[in-house]
Amino acid sequence: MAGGSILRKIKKIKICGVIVSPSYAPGGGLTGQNGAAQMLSWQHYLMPGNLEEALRLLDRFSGQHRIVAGATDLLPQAREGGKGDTHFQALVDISRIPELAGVSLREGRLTVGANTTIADCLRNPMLLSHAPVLAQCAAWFGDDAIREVATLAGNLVNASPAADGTTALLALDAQVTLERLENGNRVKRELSLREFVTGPRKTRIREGEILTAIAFDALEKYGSAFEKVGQRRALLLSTVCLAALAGINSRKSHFVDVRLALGGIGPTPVRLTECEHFLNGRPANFQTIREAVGLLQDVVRSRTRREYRREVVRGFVERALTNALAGCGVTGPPWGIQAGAKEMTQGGVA
Amino acid sequence: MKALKILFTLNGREVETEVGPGTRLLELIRDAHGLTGAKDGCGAGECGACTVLVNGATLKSCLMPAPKVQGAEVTTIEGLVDTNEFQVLARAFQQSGASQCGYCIPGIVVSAIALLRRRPEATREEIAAALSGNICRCTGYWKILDGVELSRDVLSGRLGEEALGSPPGDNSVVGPFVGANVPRVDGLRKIAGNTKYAADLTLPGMHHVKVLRSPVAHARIAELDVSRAEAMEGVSAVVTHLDVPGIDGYGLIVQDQPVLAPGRVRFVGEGIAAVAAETPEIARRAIDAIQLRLEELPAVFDAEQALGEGAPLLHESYPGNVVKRVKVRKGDLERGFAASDLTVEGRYTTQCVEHVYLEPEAALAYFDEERVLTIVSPSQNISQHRWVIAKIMGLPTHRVRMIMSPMGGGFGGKEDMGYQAILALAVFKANRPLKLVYSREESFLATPKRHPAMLELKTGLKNDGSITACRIRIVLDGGAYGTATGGVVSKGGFLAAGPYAIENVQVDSVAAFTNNTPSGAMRTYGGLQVHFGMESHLDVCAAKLGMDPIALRRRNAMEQSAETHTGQRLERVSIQHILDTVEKAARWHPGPPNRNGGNRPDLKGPGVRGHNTLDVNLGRRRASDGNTAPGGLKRGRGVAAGWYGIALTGIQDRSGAWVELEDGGTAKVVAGASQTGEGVENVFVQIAADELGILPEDIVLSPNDTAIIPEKSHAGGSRQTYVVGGAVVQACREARAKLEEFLAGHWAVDRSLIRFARREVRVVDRRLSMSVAKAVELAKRNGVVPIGSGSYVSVGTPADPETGQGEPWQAYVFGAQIAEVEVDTVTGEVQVLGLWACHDIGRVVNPKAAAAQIEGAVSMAVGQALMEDYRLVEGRALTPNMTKYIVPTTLDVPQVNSILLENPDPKHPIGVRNIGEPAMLQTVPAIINAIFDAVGVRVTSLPATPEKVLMAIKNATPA
Repeated sequence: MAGGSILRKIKKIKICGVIVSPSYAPGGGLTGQNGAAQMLSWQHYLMPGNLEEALRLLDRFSGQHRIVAGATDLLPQAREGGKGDTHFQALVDISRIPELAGVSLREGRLTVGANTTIADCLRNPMLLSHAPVLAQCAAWFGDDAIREVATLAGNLVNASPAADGTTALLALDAQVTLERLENGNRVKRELSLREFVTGPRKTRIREGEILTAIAFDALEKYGSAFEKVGQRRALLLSTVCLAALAGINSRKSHFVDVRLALGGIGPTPVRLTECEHFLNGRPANFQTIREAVGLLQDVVRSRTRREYRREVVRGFVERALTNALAGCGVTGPPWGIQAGAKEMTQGGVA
Repeated sequence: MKALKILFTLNGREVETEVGPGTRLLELIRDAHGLTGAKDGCGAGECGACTVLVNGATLKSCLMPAPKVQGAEVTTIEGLVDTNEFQVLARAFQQSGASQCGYCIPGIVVSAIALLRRRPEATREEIAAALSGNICRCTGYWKILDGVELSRDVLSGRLGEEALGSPPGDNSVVGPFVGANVPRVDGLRKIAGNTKYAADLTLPGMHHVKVLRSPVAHARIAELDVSRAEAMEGVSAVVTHLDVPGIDGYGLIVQDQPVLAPGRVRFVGEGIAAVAAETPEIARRAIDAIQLRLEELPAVFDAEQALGEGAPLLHESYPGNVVKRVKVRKGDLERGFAASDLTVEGRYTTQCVEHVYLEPEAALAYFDEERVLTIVSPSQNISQHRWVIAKIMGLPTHRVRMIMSPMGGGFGGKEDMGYQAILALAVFKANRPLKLVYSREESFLATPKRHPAMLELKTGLKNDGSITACRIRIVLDGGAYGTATGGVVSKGGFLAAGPYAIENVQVDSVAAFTNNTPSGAMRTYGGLQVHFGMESHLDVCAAKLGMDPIALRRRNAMEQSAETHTGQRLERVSIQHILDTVEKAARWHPGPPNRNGGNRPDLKGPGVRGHNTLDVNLGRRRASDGNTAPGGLKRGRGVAAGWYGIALTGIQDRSGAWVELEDGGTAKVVAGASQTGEGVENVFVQIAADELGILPEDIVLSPNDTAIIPEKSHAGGSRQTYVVGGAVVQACREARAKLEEFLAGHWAVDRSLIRFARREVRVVDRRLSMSVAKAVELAKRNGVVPIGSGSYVSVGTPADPETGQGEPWQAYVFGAQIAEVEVDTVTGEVQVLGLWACHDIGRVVNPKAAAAQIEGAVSMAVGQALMEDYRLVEGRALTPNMTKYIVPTTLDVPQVNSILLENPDPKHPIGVRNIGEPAMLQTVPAIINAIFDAVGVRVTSLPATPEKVLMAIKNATPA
């Protein structure tokens, strides 16, 4: 267990490890003027004014650039404990490209530009009304200053296994638009988010491509909830996060379209498809949710804290769905008697 | 690489600047524009000390590539100070006591102003959420939130300006000042970002120093060749252990740590060589040019293994890797156990903890006009650092001058030194001013931590709860060097059995050398670990006996004239009264621990903050009372008591001071005030104002500079108010006595009838009076100079090596705390919502500052109880920065309800004691006991992470 003494076997005498600096010298010489890290450097900092120009810059600095939007992950990653010294020939800052801004609604789908920030999720009236799960996710994302500049697209492209934004967008059946230049012509392609993120820090974005827009379902009448746990209440990385959406029929009697996306439990966020299938068409009540939780497949593939994550997933699905149902106007048994309910169900399952 | 020219607006003025490759906005404003209000606390967007406004939005300037501000409007704290919002907020912060060390405060002010502009009616919960990215390690946030709320109300007109208290310069308050909430004398300049910390200073022609550090935990240095680094252009010095002219070694109690490793490294991060060069970049490249070959040696990372057979030996002069052993023997243990109805055994462990003062280490070194080696650094211990550096440099002590720069938090971590000695070596070689600044990572890597501890307790109890015997075994991990460990072993050992009258006690406290980061001084100096053990254990005992935990403590608590475990007879013991007081304040409902699920009637009462949850409709955090929040939230309460010895352990702890009443009736106080942010400046100024009958604003405190101050400047052992404060009292009295004698002659009255107050001297029941200014003038004209010197000694006696018997401290502080927590049974998360703290701290100098010390201590203890963990695997940190090493934010701290009991210290001239450390002893076990009460699981190894708590709950539930 963490804390206390870390028991280690005493190593046998080993007089072979030859370490020659500068291969690894933690801390030493790693600081810059006035304590600042000088670990990220660039040759050119470029702020294209339109998408066409940005794409041309990517072509010009092919293989030697990095795209920058909010830049909240860029500098921390280039420190000790991350990647250490990092140099780019060019940083291409897309944050001022007008084509990448804006939120629009068409045929039941919302489309947001790549520069849509996490703070926008808490402020934009259309996002608040049609995708409140993004606001629920954003409320626990970083802190005020991070939310101000960090973008949803950046969250997708960084592809952290525990990315809150990716998890919420996965529940919304999001799709990304990627653009690049091919023989001087702009080429667009679209990928579902499920296809786009392939592993920890891995996506299908190609050299020279910019993620320009994210489209996702506008689910105005759905109830939603976002659950997240880390080590504290602000500025925290998720150990597990869950986005839950509940669509029910007009009589409020049955689940019609349930979406559950889970982050922090493996290489990428995943949808709990089997659980969703089980719920769809069944009575929209607490009992159904309990049954679904009882049937949950183990999806936790993390190498650490597996047992813990499994426990949390069960609790999160139960609580998030109950809250999402409450968002549709269906209230379950009051949570105050949950302890009793739990004992009852445990008896039933055993 | 070419510089890029950018144009932007900085604090309302258009500027055009060239930015080099890799420049962040933080460097641009600090280095190119000299605006040092924004600080570099972590470099990774985790602390908020660098917060600025860009186009009106709060942003972390350490995360922002400088070219990003092209065409934007950037506002720093310096650009806000003239606004009405700032003027109100600064006074509100002074009124609430929001600023302590001041390092985080400019960033917090920027965030708060941005919030109030955006949402003038922000609720307290919104304020807390908006400031949750600004880490403060001193205050516990509560007074900051109070200050923002107060400014909101004044700015919106809901409250009048008078709510902000008297404006600066207002003289209507005339004393007495001891016992009054005199606003922080250093407050306004810190709030405005004007205070210059060491990293903010530059000297003409200075070079920059970088250190080469060991990547492995234990190795022989087979080769170290610095010739290529020395030959590089721009390099002014390369130093290794070969450059030590005197006796190598530094440390707090033993000086066993070499400045730079001579032939062998013993922990990851140990310094091996250092380079001074024209720019930090050249210094870095020169470090890379050093040829180093290490041959790894067998290492040991566990204290108990290090004490066992066959473990690798860290230091030849310490057989068995034993740093120090302390024994306490009282009564007859076996007879005590034989007389018991019940014995209870338990094992408890605490983790390695980092101080995380917001200011990473930084220093300048140069030769002053007398060519005295001078080092400016945030040192908590300049008197000791001075003689240690003199010894290392082979210099007479007076050829070394240590100046304490304003300190961005210390918590014991800056009692230890290291980088100052590296600078001393290098400055002789470079022969020009040098500067060294640690990054947050380097600060974590290279500096001492809190000792991890293993505690085994066995108690014998009667069925009525009385403890008949107590045996405690303590094993501490001292890390690779001795430094403060000997003191921590002793203090922990003497305090381990708690403030209880137990006839038969046996304590064995031992610390081992390991290849972990050295352990050093940290707030409570071993006290926190042993209190976690004893106070958790008593809760287990109470549960076994079916007894109320306060009743159990009351049954055993020391009475007046009790004899301690080391045989010391205490004149005044207030623990019984404290238990009664805190019980009443918290409306504690008696009963055995583990009401399991919050079925106790005292929960959710006054004194408890709201539960952090999310407003689903607004997508915004809000607070509720927990009743409506869904999902398995269970509350519980826990209690813990404790005691603490004031001043250094087992020795004569002494300090001196000088005071002069000057022309015009003002005064200067010359004393070693190691201002770590706790507000000791106020203590000395308030004391002197009362003693000299003048006002706080009439007093100037000397810089903390060994060229000026007498011994001993040292912030440790909660000694400053008590020991240095005692010296200030005596010096004031001597200066005043000279005036009194003169005036007695002048007026032909008895000296005892002369009184000083309100800038006036008068004679009791007579119409004789004059201003202090006039009195000084008259005295001087008659050849009397009103200067005084004073000293104060707190007496401790060394312990008997076999029995521990002795009188380690002359003053003790007693206290007790109650915590109310809420456990989320879905995630295992614990929120501490309310805390009641009652401490007997003697006469209170400044009630608000004392309460602030309690709030800050509680916040730090919440971190240790629930989240902080400096995890080392084979000596390497898994939590090397503030992204991984988690400390509490505004959303993680409880409402703290402080009760200060004033029971004047009988041995001190004005009856004060201290609170900085004692306030932290009870919080951790109170929280852990409350978790047990809430969900019935006992966490015995810190921290109680969500994972640990949830898995314990699941494992405890019968399948």
